[in-house]
Order: sequence, then C-alpha cells, then structure tokens
Amino acid sequence: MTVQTLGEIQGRVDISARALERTVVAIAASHLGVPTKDVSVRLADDSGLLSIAVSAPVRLPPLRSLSKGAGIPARILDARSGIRADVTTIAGAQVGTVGVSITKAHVVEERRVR
Amino acid sequence: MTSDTNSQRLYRRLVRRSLHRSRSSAVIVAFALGSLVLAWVATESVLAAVNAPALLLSPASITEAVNTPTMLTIAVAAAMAVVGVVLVALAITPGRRARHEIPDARMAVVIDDGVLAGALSKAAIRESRVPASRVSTVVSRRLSSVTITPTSGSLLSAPSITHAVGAVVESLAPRPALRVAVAVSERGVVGS
Amino acid sequence: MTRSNRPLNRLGLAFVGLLFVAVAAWIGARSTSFAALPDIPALDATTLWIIAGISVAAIALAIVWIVTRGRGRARTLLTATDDDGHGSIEARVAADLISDDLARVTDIVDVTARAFRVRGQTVLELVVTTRRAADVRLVIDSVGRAVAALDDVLATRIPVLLHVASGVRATLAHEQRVH
Repeated sequence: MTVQTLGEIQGRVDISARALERTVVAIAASHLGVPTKDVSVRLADDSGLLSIAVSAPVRLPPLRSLSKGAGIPARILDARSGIRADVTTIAGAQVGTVGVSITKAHVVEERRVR
Repeated sequence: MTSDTNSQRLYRRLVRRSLHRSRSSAVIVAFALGSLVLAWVATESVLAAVNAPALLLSPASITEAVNTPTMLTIAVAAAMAVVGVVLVALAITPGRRARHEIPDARMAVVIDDGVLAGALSKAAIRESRVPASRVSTVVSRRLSSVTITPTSGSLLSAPSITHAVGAVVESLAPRPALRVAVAVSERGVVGS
Repeated sequence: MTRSNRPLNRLGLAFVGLLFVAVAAWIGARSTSFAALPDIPALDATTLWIIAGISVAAIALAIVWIVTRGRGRARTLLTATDDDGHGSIEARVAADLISDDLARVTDIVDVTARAFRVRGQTVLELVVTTRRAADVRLVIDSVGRAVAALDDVLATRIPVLLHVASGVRATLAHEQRVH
C-alpha cells in the first residue's frame, strides 16, 4: 500500500500554519536526533516560497568519536538537505531557504547494538 | 603567514586583558554614586531657581560655605580630595590580577595563582614526604615561596625540594617568570 | 571577559578623579588665602537652570556609559551562509562537547564556555575550575587535546582562551593549602 503524500493529492489541502510548524518541528527533530520539545522553528514567506529557520540542539557522539567522522558542518548540511526534502515531500510545500542554528549538543555515547 | 601573526597578536591581547582588571566595576560604582550627587545638585538648583525651599542645602548656603570656608567645608574638601586621588589611582595603576600566563601552542592560557601554588605545593609534598598541611606556597608576580614545616627528627634537603618545585615551574614556564624560594622552618612538629 | 573599552574606563575615572581633586584644591586654597581667588557670586535663576541642565546631561552620559559596559558577548561560534540558506553553531555546543570530553579528568571540577568577539574575531573562552592540588600540566594538556578534537569536528581552528581557575573562595588567596 503506498502512502500518498500531501504533494500528490489532487485538490486543495488546507494546512494551518500551526500544523505546518508542528510538522516541520517533527521533521527537524528526527534529522537532528533530539526531542521535539527542544526544537523551535520559525516559518516565513520568502517571495512565495516557504523559508524555514530551525533552532535546536543536535545529538552527537562524544568528541573523540566525532572527530574521526565527518564533523559538525557536514552534519548540519545533511540535516538541512534532509529537512528540505522531507518538508517538500510530506508537507507538499515549496521550500526556499533553510537555516539551521545549533544551540546545544546532546552528547550520547553510541552503544553498539549486537 | 599573516594569519599566524594575526592570531599571535590576538592571543597577546587576550592574555593581557585576562591579566589585568578592566576597571568596569570601578567606573560603574563611581558613575552611579556621581549620578546620585549630580541628581541632588540638579534638584537643589531647580528648587532655588523657582524660589522653593531647599531639600538639604540651598545653592546659596553652599556658595556661602565655599566663600567663607568653615571647618566643615574644609573637611568636605579633604574628603573630596581623597576620593579624587583614589579614582586617579584606580585609573593609573595597572590593576594586575593574581594570574600568570602559561605558554601553549594552540591556546591562550591564563592560570589563577592559587592553582599554580597548589601544583608547586604538591611537588614539594611529594619530594619532602611531609603531610600536606605542613606545606604552604604563595605565588606572587615574580616569586613563588614555599614554606615547609618539617617533622621533628627528619632531615629535609632544601636544595632537592627546590629542584623538584623548580622542575614543575620549568614544565609550565609561567610568565612573568617565577623564581623559586623554598624555606624549611626551624621549628618542626613532632610526629607526622 | 568582555569587550568593554578599557582605556576609556580609565580615562573616565581619571577625569572624575582630577575634577574632584581640582575642586577640593580650589576650596582648600581659598581657606588658606594662598591665592586671591574670587568669591563665587550669588547664583541667579539663569545660572541655576544651567547648572541643573549640565547636571542632568552628565547623569545621562553616565547612564549611557554604565549601560554600554559588558558588550561583546557572542552566542554563535561559527556561521556560514550559502544559496540554500545558512547554518550556525552556538558556543554552547563547543562547551557541551568539551565538558563531556573532560568529564573523565578528575582534577577538573567544572567547565564553562563563552564566546565573545574581539577585534572582529570570535573567541571561545573556556573557564576550567580545578580541584585543589590539581595536576596543572595534565589539566592543560587534557583541554588541549579536547580543543584539537574540536578543531577537527568544526573543520576550523577557533581562537581559544583557557582560564584555569581555582574556584570562587580560593580566588581571594594567592596561597594554596593542599589538604
């Protein structure tokens, strides 16, 4: 069974600003690995496109393991493109600029799942 | 590389600012008190200008007191002179904090003299094997002086303790450079 | 540490101080009749209003001065903008990562971080509070290693100021008793 996304539905779908905001919050939270309550999102009009400003912590492994990997700028870029893609697909919105502002780090020891 | 000299200059500046007080709090206190006094002056002036009764002292009585100086005016003048000198002293003196710089390749590092003293004490304790409570170190701008109260009956070698403490100073290389002076007190304490 | 203008602070203090000394000297000189200084004439209403006006202006200046102390604190450590939008990292992120990394160093009791701007550059200030009788070399080297890892993680070297502090009570003393 395929899941129809809002973008594909024919006809008009009215989404309240608040519901859209909550959707974007959930999407951002999932890409950053943090609880939705810690994420704050500001949506605005950007010449007809939806501009998104996210302010949130990010889940990160401890500094030493992190330094062996890609680094935070890469993580932000990934999160940003992921958020852009998901908001376009799930909410069916045309997204303009996306800003991601990382406020804190939730440092979590990665546990190896056997 | 210009970016290196830029960061060198930046670090010099950061360290210098960490080692001296900014005098911000002095300015805030001085200006706040000064504002209160000025507010009073303005109030008295306005009251006098509209011929209303003075709050504490009317401008007329103030000019009277200055024109024919009484003991009170002299006393007030003396107090003002003292305050003035204190303010000028605060402005001129460097206001050094009890801190030293520790050279490092990557960071600008400043350390409280108390922490530095602790590290030197630790070296003296380890070398002299005296209980920690009998060693005290004071770090001032250019001198670290270690005082040890020995255990009666055990001989302490000041030179070897000086060497041990000096080794810690050398490993940290604080700036301004610290001289090491170890003093073993003549009276000991019986038992450890 | 803030960006408050230090030379200006000292100039302000010197100015007010010299003013006080000058007035005191003038009053003192009158009493010893050293110099034939003129009496202050009776103050008329106009002069009084002028005095009030100057006082109020000076108060306003003082208030402005007081309020402008303590600027220069920055929230963001790094920021970048491109066609797709922008991204930024706040100082707290570095603080959290470094605190976590230094948690295993027993000599370190507390780590706080702040970002501030000096001469157009953003600097990360780390204040590391140590236990009494801490191994200073170990503490500095541990922080150095954490900062090196942070350099990798941020893909850039941010200027860092490390302040090795002894805890609030002990800052009053140059002496450290190791118990």
